[in-house]
Amino acid sequence: MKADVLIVGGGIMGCATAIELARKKKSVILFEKDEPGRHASGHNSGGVRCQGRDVREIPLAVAARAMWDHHEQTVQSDCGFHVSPRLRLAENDADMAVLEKRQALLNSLGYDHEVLVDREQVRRMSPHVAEHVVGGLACYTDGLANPLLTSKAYAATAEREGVTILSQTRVIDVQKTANGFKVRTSSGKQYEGETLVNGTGAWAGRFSEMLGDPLPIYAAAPTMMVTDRVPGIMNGTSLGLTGRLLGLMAAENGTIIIGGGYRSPLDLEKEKIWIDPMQMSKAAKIMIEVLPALRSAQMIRCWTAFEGCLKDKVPIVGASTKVSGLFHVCGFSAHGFQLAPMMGRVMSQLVLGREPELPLDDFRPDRFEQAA
Amino acid sequence: MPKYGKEYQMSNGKSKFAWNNLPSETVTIYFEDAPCEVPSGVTVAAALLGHDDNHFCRSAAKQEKRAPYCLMGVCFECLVEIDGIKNRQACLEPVREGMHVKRQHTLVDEKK
Amino acid sequence: MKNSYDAIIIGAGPAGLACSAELANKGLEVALLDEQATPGGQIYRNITRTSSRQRTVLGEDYTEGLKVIENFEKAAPDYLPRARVWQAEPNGEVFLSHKKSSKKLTAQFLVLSTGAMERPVPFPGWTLPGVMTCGGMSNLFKDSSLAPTEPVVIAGSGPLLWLVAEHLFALNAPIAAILDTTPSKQYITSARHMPQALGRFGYLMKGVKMIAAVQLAAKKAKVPMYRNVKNIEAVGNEQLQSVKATCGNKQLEFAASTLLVHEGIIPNTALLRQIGCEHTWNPVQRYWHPEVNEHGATNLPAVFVAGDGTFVHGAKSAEYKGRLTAMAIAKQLHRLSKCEYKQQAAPVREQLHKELQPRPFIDALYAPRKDLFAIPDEATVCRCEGVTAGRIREIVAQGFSDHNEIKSIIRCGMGPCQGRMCGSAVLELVAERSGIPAEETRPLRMRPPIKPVSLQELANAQLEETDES
Repeated sequence: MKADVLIVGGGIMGCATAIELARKKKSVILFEKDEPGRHASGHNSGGVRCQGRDVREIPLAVAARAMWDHHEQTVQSDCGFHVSPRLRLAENDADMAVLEKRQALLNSLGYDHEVLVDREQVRRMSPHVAEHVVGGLACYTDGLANPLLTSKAYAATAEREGVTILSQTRVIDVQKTANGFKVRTSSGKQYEGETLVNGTGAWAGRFSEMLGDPLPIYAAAPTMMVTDRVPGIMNGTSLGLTGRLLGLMAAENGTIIIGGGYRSPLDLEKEKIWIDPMQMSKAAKIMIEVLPALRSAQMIRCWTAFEGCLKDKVPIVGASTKVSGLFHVCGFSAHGFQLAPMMGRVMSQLVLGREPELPLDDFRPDRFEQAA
Repeated sequence: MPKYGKEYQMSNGKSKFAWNNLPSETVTIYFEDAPCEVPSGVTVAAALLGHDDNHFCRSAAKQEKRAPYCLMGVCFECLVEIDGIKNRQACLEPVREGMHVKRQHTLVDEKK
Repeated sequence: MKNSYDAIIIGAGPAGLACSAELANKGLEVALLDEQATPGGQIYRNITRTSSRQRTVLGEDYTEGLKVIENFEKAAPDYLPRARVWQAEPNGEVFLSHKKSSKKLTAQFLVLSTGAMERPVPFPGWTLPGVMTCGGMSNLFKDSSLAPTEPVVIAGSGPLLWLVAEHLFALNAPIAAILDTTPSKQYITSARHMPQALGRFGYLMKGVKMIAAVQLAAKKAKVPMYRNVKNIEAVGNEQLQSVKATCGNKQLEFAASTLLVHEGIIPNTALLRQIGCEHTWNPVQRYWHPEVNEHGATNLPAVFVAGDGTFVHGAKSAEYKGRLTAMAIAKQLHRLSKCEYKQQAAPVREQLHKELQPRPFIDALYAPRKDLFAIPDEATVCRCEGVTAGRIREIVAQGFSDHNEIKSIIRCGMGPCQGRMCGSAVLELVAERSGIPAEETRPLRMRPPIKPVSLQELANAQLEETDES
């Protein structure tokens, strides 16, 4: 079977890219070793945030945020998206200085989506925060979505647009040919395409290695937890901290989703993650310090997923510098979910040989070699 | 009908159950702040079912009245607040002298 | 209590009690953890404290437990009641809540003897206060001697239904009706297992006598009894007021303030699934059960399962299974030579085999009937999150067949019970609507904590520091 573009990985990046390419009349085959959204795309914390992003990502994040308002038209689902302002708290003057510096930097670059707020405004937004909190940096347009619903909506849209999605199909061999790529799958079949997109998340480094283009991506398993329904504690505002690890997201149904970078040990080969309760205990301690009312809330469930990470914490997005016709969209370092709609756009532009509407130079795959 | 003496009419009149044992010892617990005498050693679920009607909590999602269903720790329909701590499974907690038990209606104190 | 043991046994029912006693008698360091305040599990619940009046009503099958307790107390392994285990790992780590704090224990071997639970079957009104399971009623009586004083309807299928009816008659409880939902044809289809079952003739006769006694008592007390009953419905406004059902063309309705339901017993596999035991589908009883060998070994080398958690075989079998598991562990820890193991295990194995003879007959007779999960659209399936059967059918029609995905999208199974109450029903609704056989769908994953833990308790955790990455 042949197609213009072969995409490996049925996560949200692969599906977003597939949708845009199909809409531009390209034939696309997408390979997914499990089911679309089985891994990080469908099981992240669901944060749709611009706040706190690396400045290199901000233009993409701001553009992506606008697209989150139109998912009902673009993927026929609201993706469970709702706005929950995100407030990054300063727990002391040193934190406040960090936030002031951050806002000054953003203003100098022309962005105004993060706003400094004082003690009183913090309490108007989040009445239960602890006494010691001195201020914060608010992003009023941030929100959260249902990651599995979103991933499934993207996959379903791709199929509606004519993309062939092959689930439970692992790519076991890939070769560069004179006019493109040849892919062999676990189902024993062969596929050919002119261009190849690597959207394999935590597995992106190994996948790319098959083509002699190793990427310095490593897997990590951020661990999240969710509480029972505790309406009234969060007041609809999601919280983050400045000097410590913690992210608390206020879901519409009254549960709180806790993230913030607590990691569990993993075995990528066996696809096994051990949830480490010690990490959860640390998070719980900090949560109660910041929001004492959470004392009586319960941890209902923990979960994790394999994320592809890079040491400079921004993704690889762009054409391979070693293999012509190969494009990478991976290594989002556990914060790619929000960027997905925009990534589909710029990836399709890259694949079609056009100038991407936003510059992607900071995400070049060879940036680590240059630095060395 | 089960035989029980006057001293074992621990129900406030709404209970749909009665005790068959003559309890050797009783303890006083406070249900919704009202003292009630119950046999020692029983679970909180039994104490409440023998005392009042069977409304223990409201479901967190729909705010419907709920009562013990499995009485073995599986269904989470007998959640009560015990001594200020929410989400206790009444079917697994033994009664204690002076214990305060409340129906679990709202999950949070709105303002601490 | 120490932090580290040769073996940790989770669940103090007959299997856990027998297993921990056997291991302790062999000189091993053993801890038995249990959620309840007293040992006995569900079957022998509260046995150390029940009165002679309660024991008379509950009969021999219950007082059997006294011997198990006696052996356990003699062997005296470390025993921690009121311990809620919320996570266990294949390397022998166990995380639990006890006295408002969380802690970690470790062992070379884990024995999960978490027993069984009643099969939760949703029907209209099953969330109303006043509806509870037959096992729940039985537990309530064991715990407290409470019995209903207002009209009670007993409905469902299985030996426990008759047992509870027998107890309630003995207690002079006002039974309004007994509604047996076992389809008549299952008396015929199960008959082929009869010859094997006759190996335990006495056991079968006990069952027959019990049912006959209940029928006689019902006749005497003029309690209506119906067979082949369908379409049970609980009616009431915030409290059960009546029970509706159909029997052939007949519409039944009984005023009642308590409805006791029972539709069989299934293994309680929450911890087994969380730790990662592989499971197999049983097509007769229609449930997932762990893949174990005769002494309870699983796919995880340090993890054993004993008792009804392996497959529902009853209390006596659970005790034998617990002992066999203990012997296998003792052998691995070189407390038993190969030869000693053979000698000691053989008679227990024989007793177990004898005990299992009538099971295929009972499993077939009381198999979940075909229309057991033909749940009306408006009925609530997920009690915690209030998700109806109709909503589940809708999402299945959209192409979802994996309960894990259904949970993420419509929150069915997302609440504190983590799918224990809706799991069986979702499995069958998916099969009904998608045509995909239940055994081919991905089983519901259990994530830690398998029981909710308050954040305060978690923050107070006394867990060792793990290596920071």
